[in-house]
Amino acid sequence: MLRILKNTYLLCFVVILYFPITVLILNSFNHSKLSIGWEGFTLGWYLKLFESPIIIKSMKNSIIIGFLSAFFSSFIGTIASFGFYRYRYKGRKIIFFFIQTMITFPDIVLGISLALLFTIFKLGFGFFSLLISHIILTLPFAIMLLITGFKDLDKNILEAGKDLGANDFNILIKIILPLIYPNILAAFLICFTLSLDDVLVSFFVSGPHFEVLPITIFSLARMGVKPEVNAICTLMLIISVILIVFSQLLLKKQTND
Amino acid sequence: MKNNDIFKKIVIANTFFWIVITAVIPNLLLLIASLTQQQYEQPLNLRFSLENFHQLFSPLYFKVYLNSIKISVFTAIICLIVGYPYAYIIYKEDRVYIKNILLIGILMPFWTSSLIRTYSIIFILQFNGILNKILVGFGILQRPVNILYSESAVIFGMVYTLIPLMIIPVYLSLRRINNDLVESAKDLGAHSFQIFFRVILPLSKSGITSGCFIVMLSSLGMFYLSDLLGGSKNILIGNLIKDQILLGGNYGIGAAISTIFYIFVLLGVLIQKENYKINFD
Amino acid sequence: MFNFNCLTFAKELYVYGWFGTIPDAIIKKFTKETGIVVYLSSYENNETMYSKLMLLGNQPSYDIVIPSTYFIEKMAKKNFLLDLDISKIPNLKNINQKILNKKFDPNNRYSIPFATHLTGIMYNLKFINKKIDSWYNLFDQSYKNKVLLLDDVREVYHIGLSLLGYDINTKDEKKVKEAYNYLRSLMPNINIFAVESTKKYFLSQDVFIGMNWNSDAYAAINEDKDLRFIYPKEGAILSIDSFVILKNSRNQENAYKFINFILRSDIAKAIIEETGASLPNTAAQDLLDPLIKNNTVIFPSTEIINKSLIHEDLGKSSMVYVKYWNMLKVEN
Repeated sequence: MLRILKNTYLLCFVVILYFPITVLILNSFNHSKLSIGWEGFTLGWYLKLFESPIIIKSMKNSIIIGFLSAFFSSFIGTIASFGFYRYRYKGRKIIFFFIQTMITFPDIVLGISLALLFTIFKLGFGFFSLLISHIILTLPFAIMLLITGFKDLDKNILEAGKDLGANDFNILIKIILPLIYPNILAAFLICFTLSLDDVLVSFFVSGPHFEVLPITIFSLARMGVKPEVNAICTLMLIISVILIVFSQLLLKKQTND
Repeated sequence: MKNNDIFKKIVIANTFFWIVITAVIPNLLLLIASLTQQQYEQPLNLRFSLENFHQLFSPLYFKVYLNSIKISVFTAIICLIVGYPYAYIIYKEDRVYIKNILLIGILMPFWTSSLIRTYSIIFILQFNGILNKILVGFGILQRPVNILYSESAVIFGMVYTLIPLMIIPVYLSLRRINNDLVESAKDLGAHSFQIFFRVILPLSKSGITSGCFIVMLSSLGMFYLSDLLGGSKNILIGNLIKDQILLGGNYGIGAAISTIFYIFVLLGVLIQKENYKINFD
Repeated sequence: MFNFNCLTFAKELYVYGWFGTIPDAIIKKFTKETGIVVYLSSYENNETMYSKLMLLGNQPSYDIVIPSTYFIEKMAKKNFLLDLDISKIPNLKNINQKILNKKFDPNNRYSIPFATHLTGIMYNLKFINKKIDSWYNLFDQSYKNKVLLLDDVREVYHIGLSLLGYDINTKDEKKVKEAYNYLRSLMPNINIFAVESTKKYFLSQDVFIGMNWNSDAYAAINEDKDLRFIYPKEGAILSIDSFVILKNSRNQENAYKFINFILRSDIAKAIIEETGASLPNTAAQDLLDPLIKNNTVIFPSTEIINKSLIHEDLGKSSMVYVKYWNMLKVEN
């Protein structure tokens, strides 16, 4: 009896959760313009995407920003987590506290505060403002992920390294990095996804010459359900899913080693 | 070992620098901006004034707060009721591959763009959309109903988007429950109902509070949800902040609201310190 | 398509307007003829556009913006706009002279008219069989939750103020407050505050009656023959969307080319046919099919135009309107 209840619940849950997205994806291939009835399979909407310069440019921009911000976040995050792992220094706890707050920090407030920052210091709203904002957005997540990765490392490694006379820099590069690279890659992929999907921060800090995809989609979505939007959304979903699957596999690999 | 010292200094300095830029400076600026004077069409001017906070406590804004809090509380409660069973089922599941499938099932939506997921709901909930067609087709309704562009649509959209944020903390806290406690309860002769209500549920409290906290916090800021699903009718705190800054052209009030928001976040994290403890050596 | 990446940065144009005002096909044609790639960004309403430009300040941003009526005056005051060199826009001769030299931009120093929009009332015959001729009809109790209003503070308060017989450009807070109290009774009827496109709400039948711009109405009627559009007897709201070039635009030459292109009679004709926008382009109108040329939705009679009202800049008093606008929206 309980079994039936449990299975019904799971079924309903998953169906409701995935139904709208499935409809969206299916409709991106639907020939009908109004998407109300099925009118034949077509890739036409995907082709039409390429005819809109703003969509292509936004997509390009999103990928560039995603890649660069994920790269820098992972880099800085690795150094920061190494610091937590290796050293005990004053203010460590406070820094950690701030990182935790930034994880739950509402995006919209971050967006406004960064817009304020750029306005006051007259730094301009464009590529660099967006890049820095996305690094700031994704850094806490990268650090958290990497800290857990460092935590799982065998403590003896540090000792072994020191005994062999290596300095910290070499320990990091030659011993730890090879062990922890799946975490770094996972952090990279997750930061990339976060950057790709961000609406609230980008809304406030992006400039006219460097629009990113979520903003373009938001403007288009306001006009109603449009087939081109379905197509671009499907593409974004597929990219996100691929990235997540990869990152999960990498994390599994790290725990297995 | 001089090199080591330098390296150590660089690492720590780097961390400090980035955290200061990330967490401290923007919020400091917000605080300062919230204490400046409101000037028509001037983004920022540096004269001290408490008028922003004064305006914040006006009746108009209170209506917005109440409305927003009402919606976010409903969202959190529904997320909890609908989501807790899912987390529990993953926790109880013994077979690893099913566990993984269930986890992926909930992580996938979590990591994909919430904007896209919100957009996909519009289509279903429209007046001549699929949901109405199904309900009328199966005879549950006589005529199509106005589902979209209402407060319920906004709440549904929020639950839909944020439920993974409830399930994951709950699951993590369930996972941390010491199995011995459950075993000893069984040994003492407790039924599974009793075990659940008197052992497991209380022990998952931290997950529940975490989940509720994150869901409520997120729902307050997502103005695009109320724009797309609510027909721009519902002014929530996120909309208010956005409108004040974009329509009013002045950061003052937006900054003031955001500062208060931030204080809540700080309090929330402080309260839930146990959830975030990572033991350094 | 992808060889655009090889073009130098001089072959770009950033336009800030509303999605859909200029059809994709027209933009494609422009790019094909000139090799200039056009990036069209969209804003929710004039206020947002104006704030964004203020925030961007002197930083190079958009090249062409398409603001309405009194926003051109505001932008000119803030020194955002380029003094236009009319010699670079020979196709200006195609524009109806009567629409030039208006109060908000004397001698068209900064702006070239693109389209005129009139706000009226749209309704669905399938659900409504009463006579519709006034803003007052929106207040009918039987339309509960089926009414659409535009998400624009001035246009909504226009309804309140004009029904009360007041000047729709009043700066008197007492009168605005009265309009607020009057409009409160309308709120239960409202289902949507439409931001950009109203068409989808009428087509999806989430609303049966509401405010609409004539161009959007024309497009909607084409897709659903049950829809009707009328101009209220109190006077429709007239706004003129114009092209302006920002002073710090990096692609001024391209901007001139674009404006001149849109003013071409064959291009303007195509825009009218595709979007139903009322372009004051006499050369284009002559080329139109009589059915469209005489369509009163797109080209209403002179009588209706003379009776219509234009919104003016209210300066600081706009904050009063914003205050009561927020109060109104929270009423739900």
